[in-house]
Amino acid sequence: MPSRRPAPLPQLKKAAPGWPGLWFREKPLKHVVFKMPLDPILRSPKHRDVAAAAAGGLAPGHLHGHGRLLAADGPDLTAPLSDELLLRILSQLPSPLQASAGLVCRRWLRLVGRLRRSLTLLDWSFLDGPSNRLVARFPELDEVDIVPASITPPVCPSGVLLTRGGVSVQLESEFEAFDPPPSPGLIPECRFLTPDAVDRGLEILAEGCPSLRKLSLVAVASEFGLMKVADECLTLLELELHRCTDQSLRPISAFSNLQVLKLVGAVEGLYSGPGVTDIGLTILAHGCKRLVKLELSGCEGSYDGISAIGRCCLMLEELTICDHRMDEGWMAGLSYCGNLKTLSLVGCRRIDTDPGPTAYLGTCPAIEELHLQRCQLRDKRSLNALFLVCEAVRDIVIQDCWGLDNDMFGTASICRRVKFFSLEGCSLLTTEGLESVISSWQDLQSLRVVSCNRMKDNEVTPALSYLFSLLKELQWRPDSRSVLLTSLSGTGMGKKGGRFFKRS
Amino acid sequence: MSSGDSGPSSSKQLVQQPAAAGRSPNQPPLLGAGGRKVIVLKSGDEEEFEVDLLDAMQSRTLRRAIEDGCGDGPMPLPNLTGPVLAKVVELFRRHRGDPRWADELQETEKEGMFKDYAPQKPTAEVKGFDREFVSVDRDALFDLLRAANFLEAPGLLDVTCDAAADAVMNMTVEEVREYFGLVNDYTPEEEAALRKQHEWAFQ
Repeated sequence: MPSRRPAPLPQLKKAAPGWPGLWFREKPLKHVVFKMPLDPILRSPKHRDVAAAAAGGLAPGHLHGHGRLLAADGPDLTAPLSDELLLRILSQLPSPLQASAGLVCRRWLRLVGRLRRSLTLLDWSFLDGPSNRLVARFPELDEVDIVPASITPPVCPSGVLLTRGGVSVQLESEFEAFDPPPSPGLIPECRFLTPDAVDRGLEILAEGCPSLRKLSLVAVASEFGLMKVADECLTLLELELHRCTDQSLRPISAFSNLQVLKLVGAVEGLYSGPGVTDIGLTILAHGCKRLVKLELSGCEGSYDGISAIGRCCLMLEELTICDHRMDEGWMAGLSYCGNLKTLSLVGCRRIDTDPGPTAYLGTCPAIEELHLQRCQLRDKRSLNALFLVCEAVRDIVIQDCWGLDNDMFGTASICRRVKFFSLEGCSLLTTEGLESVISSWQDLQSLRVVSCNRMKDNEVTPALSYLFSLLKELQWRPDSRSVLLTSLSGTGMGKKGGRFFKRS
Repeated sequence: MSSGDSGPSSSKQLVQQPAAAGRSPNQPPLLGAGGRKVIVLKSGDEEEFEVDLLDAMQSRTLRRAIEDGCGDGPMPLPNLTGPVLAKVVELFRRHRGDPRWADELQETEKEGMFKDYAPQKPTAEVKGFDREFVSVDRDALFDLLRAANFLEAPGLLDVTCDAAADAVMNMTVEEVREYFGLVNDYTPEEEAALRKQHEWAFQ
């Protein structure tokens, strides 16, 4: 180590009243002086004494219980710290604090932007404005949802928010004044940005955030934007396409690593659109051979589309079908999905109006889980067909389904390997109907019954209670009132007002 | 004590001790008590510390220097003072075998040098030491942060950065600026615009 000569003391004195003093106006001067001296002065304990003495006559031990760094440089304590170290500190903060940490100074804003991983865009101009603020501030995003910003805001907002299928739309304040109403419903369809604007935004996003893993967007007829995303974001794994059409699925094959895909063809109340048909499903099947999870929401199609997906996407493990508009007989296509492990039907008005002869239905060999949520189960033939296709299923979850009475539920007894069964919010099924089915499930290990009001504790027969005793896990809360009370416990609600009307 | 195999001798060898003066720079690394290799670190104010070579390897900066063959003479660390270096050296000793850096070491292993350095989970005692290590005032914490920044030792970085994050956890923006000695370099308009963006532009 070459020994440099300590700087002469007068220099230090000269530095003291300089600009850094402004930032420490409230603190005694010695503080400033002590921040100012640079390396050479504090080279040895002896000089440190001198400096401290000059600063305020304090012994060094008094000032530095733990010793000081020699290169204190101005009042900014973070100046000598690397970005990486500051990032470590900032990443320890909870996310609401991270957002406000950007207000501290420009450097922090830049650093906090690098920490941000997921973002939902609400205003399109933040993305394609003059200085590309979104990608400039958050270059390392991996999850971006630009759907809310893709909906044109109303000219005069009414303050009423309409939420459908996870998307919220501001309503026009004069939507009642349309005469006649522009669509069969009360509310006009929401309007989207032009394809040009969407393409431009996607181009900026793709170039600015090449490490994207998940993107939700509103599909447009033009291929340019999606192609750009596919070219730039090579690690994109998840894609959500809203207002999707057959035409907008054409560039889908360019996404070579895509594993999770959600298509929303139409959302009732927001937009109807041409939607996705067999053509789109076939394009998808041939383009995305590595698909693991697929969700079809509000899509049309039929046996052809589903069977094409089954034949081509050999890795498909999870299929979710929401509010479908598929033609009769589509369910027979499911048996082509050789690797399908989880099948979910969510919010479907019908399962399949005409599943065709049972001999042609086939089964999904690898199926493990079947989920039915908010579906109308009123057609015994189609429900029977569904259980036939999922004959090998191990877990069945039925939640808030309409029309599931004893007769309908009886069809579930063809599934012989059920180990886990969960039933929630189905008020037509009685204890008797449940008993007749689960007594035929020899492998049942776990049972959950919640909020099924027709089932009564006093109807549990000795045979059924013996069955319960064999289970590994049992949750039995069929009475929704008791569920309500447990969830209200401690809130002071649900006490019939007794405590308000008590006489003193 | 987390030191797996070094025995009782190593726990005492690192007390501050003036190193032998006048050693020639070409001498091989010193052998400390128990026959382990040691190196000498020299702080900016000329204090010298003997550190077990393997403990010093926790710091990426020191590891690079040692691998470049600078570990023979006393290694000058001009931007660390004696008291800070003493604390850091003690932390290195306590973090011996810490998986946070031992995994990294296994990757860069050469000549089976670290074969007896099996990673082991930090014990409650080490965690207690870490807490104690950073229960200091702001200026001292920043000294440690700068040391961590310079030395690039994962364990030291974790401990000090967690402490700094905890310190500002419940502060307002203005308090944070004061704590870090930062200057608000926004114009009032810019700051207002930034605050507003959080509301309308994104979530």
